[in-house]
Amino acid sequence: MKLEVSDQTATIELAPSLDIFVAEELLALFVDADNKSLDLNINAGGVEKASTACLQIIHSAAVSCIEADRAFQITEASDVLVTAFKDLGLYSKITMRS
Amino acid sequence: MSTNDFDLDQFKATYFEECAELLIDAETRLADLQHNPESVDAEDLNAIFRVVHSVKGGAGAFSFDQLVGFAHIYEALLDRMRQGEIQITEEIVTLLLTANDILTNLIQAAQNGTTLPEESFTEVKNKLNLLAFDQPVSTPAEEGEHETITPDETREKKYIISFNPKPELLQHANEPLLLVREMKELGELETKVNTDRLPPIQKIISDEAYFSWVFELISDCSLSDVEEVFEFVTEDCDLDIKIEEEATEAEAEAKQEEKTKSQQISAEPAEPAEDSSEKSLEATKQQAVEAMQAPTIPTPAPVKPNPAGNTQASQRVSSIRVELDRVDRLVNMVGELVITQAMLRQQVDNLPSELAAFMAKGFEDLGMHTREIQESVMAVRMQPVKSVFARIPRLVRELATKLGKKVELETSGEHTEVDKTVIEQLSDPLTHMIRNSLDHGIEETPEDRIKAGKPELATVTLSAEHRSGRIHIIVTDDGRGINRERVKAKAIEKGIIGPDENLSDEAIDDLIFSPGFSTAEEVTDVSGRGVGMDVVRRNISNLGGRISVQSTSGKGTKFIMSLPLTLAVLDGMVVAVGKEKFIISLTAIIESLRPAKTELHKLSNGAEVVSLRGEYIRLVKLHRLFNIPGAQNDPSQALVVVVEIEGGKQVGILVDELLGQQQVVIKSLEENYDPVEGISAATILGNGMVALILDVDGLDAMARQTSHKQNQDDEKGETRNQPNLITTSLDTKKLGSEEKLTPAQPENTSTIPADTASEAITQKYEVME
Amino acid sequence: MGLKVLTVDDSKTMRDMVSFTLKGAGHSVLEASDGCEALRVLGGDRVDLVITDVNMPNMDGLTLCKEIRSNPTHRLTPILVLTTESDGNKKNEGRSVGATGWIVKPFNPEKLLQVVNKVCP
Repeated sequence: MKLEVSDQTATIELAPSLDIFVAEELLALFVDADNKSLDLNINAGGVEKASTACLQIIHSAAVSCIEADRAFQITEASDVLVTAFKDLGLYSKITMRS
Repeated sequence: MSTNDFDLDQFKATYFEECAELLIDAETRLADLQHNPESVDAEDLNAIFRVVHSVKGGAGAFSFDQLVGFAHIYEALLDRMRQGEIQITEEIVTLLLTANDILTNLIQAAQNGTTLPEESFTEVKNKLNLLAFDQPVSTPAEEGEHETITPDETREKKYIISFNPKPELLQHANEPLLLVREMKELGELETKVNTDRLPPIQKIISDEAYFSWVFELISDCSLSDVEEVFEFVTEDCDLDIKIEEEATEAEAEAKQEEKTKSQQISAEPAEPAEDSSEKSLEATKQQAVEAMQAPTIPTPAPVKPNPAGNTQASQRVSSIRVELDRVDRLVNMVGELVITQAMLRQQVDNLPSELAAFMAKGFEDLGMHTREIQESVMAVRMQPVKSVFARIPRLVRELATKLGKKVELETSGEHTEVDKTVIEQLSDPLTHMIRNSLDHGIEETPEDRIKAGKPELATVTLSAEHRSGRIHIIVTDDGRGINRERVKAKAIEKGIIGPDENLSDEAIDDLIFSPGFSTAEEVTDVSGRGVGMDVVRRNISNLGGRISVQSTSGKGTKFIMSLPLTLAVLDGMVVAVGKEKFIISLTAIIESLRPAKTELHKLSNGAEVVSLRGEYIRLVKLHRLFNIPGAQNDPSQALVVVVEIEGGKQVGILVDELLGQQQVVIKSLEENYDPVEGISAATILGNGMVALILDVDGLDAMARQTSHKQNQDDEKGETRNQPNLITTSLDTKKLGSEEKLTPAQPENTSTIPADTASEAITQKYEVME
Repeated sequence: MGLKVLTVDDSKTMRDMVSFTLKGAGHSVLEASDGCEALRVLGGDRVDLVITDVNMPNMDGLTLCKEIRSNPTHRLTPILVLTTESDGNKKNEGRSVGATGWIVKPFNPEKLLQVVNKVCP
C-alpha cells in the first residue's frame, strides 16, 4: 500500500489482505497523511480479508480527518470490508461508496 | 468439512511403534534413577513425564480408556515429582518401576485389542493415587472436566453480552470479528460498539484493542454455547453475559417477524453498500463527531513486547529421524552397487593390457569409495545395544521376585553399537541367557548364598563390547556354577553321550547346549516356554554368531555370545569346490593348509581327520555333503580350511582352492528359499553367479551324521541319498539382483546326472592313510 | 483458500493425526518435533496458525509461545496449545504466555477443525 498524493488528497489503495500484520503499515500511511493534512480517499475494492486491528485504524483515521475538517471517504468497498464494518458495529459511523 | 470417514486406526501402528520407543526411554531413565537416586536429573523426570504424557495423549485419541485412566494417575505423580513436591525415595522408584511395567502391559493389551483385569493393578493404582492426589481411590468423574450443563429447553432467549477487551487481546492473535462470526451462527445478533477509547490516528498503536461492544444475541442456544464463543478470550477481556428470557409469546412472535425481515435484508448483499452511498458525508461527519464526544481518551500503556533477543536458531538438533525403509533401501542399493562394481572389476581383466592397467587404477579407487559408502550407510543403521539392554532390568526384577531371589543387575557397554539387523535378533537369546542365569545359575535361596560365604545379593552382569570386528555380549552371574556331575549324569541319561565317554570340563559345560538336554520336567515357569539352550545356540549360530559358556564351580557362570556387527554384509573367503563357489566367513577361519598324507587318518567311526599340532581335526568334505562333481577328494592334493565352530572346536573344510577375500552382501535364503542345512545365506559374486555362504556349525553337524551313516552305507554298499543342492540353479533374480547379472554358466545349471553321483561314491572308497 | 499451519509435537502419532486432519480440510501443514525445530521451520515466512504441544524436549510449547510472541515476524500469529490437562492450570499458563487458544486432548478431528476455524479468519 502506498500514499498517492494529488491536489491535497491522498489516495490509498487497500491491500487485499487487511490482516493484523499490515496494520502497522496502514497506520504509517494514515499518520503520514495526517502529518501532511491531506484529505483521504480510500480505495477498498480489493479487500478480501479484514481485521479488527485495521478497521480500528481506518476508523481512527476517519475520525481524525473529520475532526480536522478534512474529507475522508472509502470508495468501492468490497463485500468483505462492508461485512466486517457491520460485524463490528461500525457501519453506521462511516461513509462508504461501493 | 465432514470428518465422518476419518479413520484414526491408520495411526495406531505409528502410535504403538512410538510407545515402544518411549517405553525404552522411560525404562532406561528409571533404571538410572534406581541406581543413583541421589543424582536425580530434573531432565530425567521431565522426560519420563513426557513419555507417559505422550502415551496418554495417543491413548485418548484411540479411546484406550483403561490405558488413559492409568496413565493419567501415573502422569500426575510424575508431575508432582518433577515439581519437587514429592521426594524421590527408594520406595517411590520401585513404585515407578512397577507403574511403568503396568503401563507397558496396558499398551500391550491395547495393541492386542484387549484390556487387563482391573484388579491386577488396582493396588498400584491406589498407591499412585494416594501420592498423586493425596487420596486413595479416584473416581473417574473427578478427573475429567465437566461443564455445568444448564437445564436447557430450546426456548429462545436474549443474551446481552458486554465484551470489553483488554489492549493485549489482539496481540494474542484473538480476533473480535471471528467472535462475531461465531455468534452470528448461534442466532440473531445485534452489535453496538463503543469507540470511546479509540485514540486519534497519531496516538494509536496498531495491535492494541480499543473498542468495546455490547452484543444482543437472540438464540435458543445454551449459556455454555455462548460462553464457549468467548472461551479463549476470557482472560483478555471483561465479559458479562446476561439472559433476558423472552417473556410472552407475542414478543416472541414479534421477534420472529423481525428475524425474517433481517434475513431478507441480509439476503441482498449488494443493497447495504448501495444504501451507504446515499448517506451524505455531512451526516456521517455528524455521527462521527457525536461518537467522539467523550473527550477522555486513555493513553494506551506502552507495554510492547521485546522485539529483539529472540533465541531463534540458537539451538541445533544434531540428529534427524529417518524412516527405516529409506535406510534399508539405501543399504540394498549400496549392496547392488558393490556387486556391480565387483562384476565390472572382473571384466577389466579381459581388456587389452595397457587399458587394463589404467582401468585397474580407477577401479581401485572406485572400490575404495564403494566400500566407504557401504560402511557409512551401514553406520547409519548402527544402534547402541541400549535399546535391548533397557528391557533387561525389568526382566531381572520380575524373575527375581518370582524366584524369591535377591539379584542385582549391573550393565556396561550399553553404548556399543551394532547393526539394527543384529539388534532385532538380540533380544530373544539375551532374554534366554538372563533367564538361565537367574533360574539355574544363582543359588536357590539367599540363605544358600550366605552358607556359601557369598553376599545375600547376587549379581548378574550384562556387558557388551566390540572385539575383533564382532560384538561380544557377556552375561555373568556369581552363582553356584554348572554342576558338572549332574550335567554329565543327565547327558548320559538322555543318551547324548555314552556312559564311558571321558569329557573335559569344557566339553561337559558345553553339553547344556546339546539338543534334547533340557527337558520338559525341568522346564520351570521361568526358564520355560519349552525353549532350551540348544535352540538359543541354533538361533545365534544362524546369525553367524557363537555362544559359549565358562563356569567355575561355586563361583559362577559366564555366557559369551559373539555376533557379527551386521547381518547385511560379510567379510568372506571365496573358495572353490569343483565348479561351485562357496563363501566362508573370514572371522571363522583360523588357517588353511595342505596336509601331508601322513597327517590324514580315518577314525573307527568313519570320520576323517587331519592331525594338526597333535590335535585331530575332523574333515568336512563339501563335495560329499552337497554332491558336487569334479572336486578334489584327496586332502593332500586339496586344501583344508580350518575354521572355528561353536564351543571353540575346530573343523577342517576340504576345498579345491581359495579364490580370495571378498566382502559380500548377504541375501537371506529364508526369504527366497527354504532353509538349507549347512548354508546360512547366499550372495551374488562379481560374475553374477550365486555363491552360498557356509554355516560351519551346520556343516559340522551334517558331517557327523553322514560319517555315521556313511559307515553304515559302506557296510551295506547302498547309495546315499544326499541333498541335491545345486547352487547355481538358484535364480539370481529371486535373490534381489537384477538382469544385469551375467547368466550362470550352463554346465552349472544342470542337475547332477546319475553317473556323477556314482562317481562321488567311487571316490568315497579311496583309501586314506 | 487453505491455511498454512505448523504443527509442533514430539509425538509423531499426534503430528500425523493433526496433519492428516488439516490436509483433509484443504490446509497445508508444516511439522516440527519440538520448539527449537518449530522456530527453525518458521524461519522468516509467516504461517497462518501454529498448533503446539506443551510437553516437549529441548523447547516446550509454552517457551515456544513466548518466542513467537517476541519475534517481530511471527508475533501476531495465532497459536493453539494442545494439552491433555483439562484443569485450568495449563490453560492459564498458555494464556499468560500469549497463546491464542487451546485444544484439549484426546485428539478429535472434528474438534480440531472447529477450533482452527475459531481462531483463523
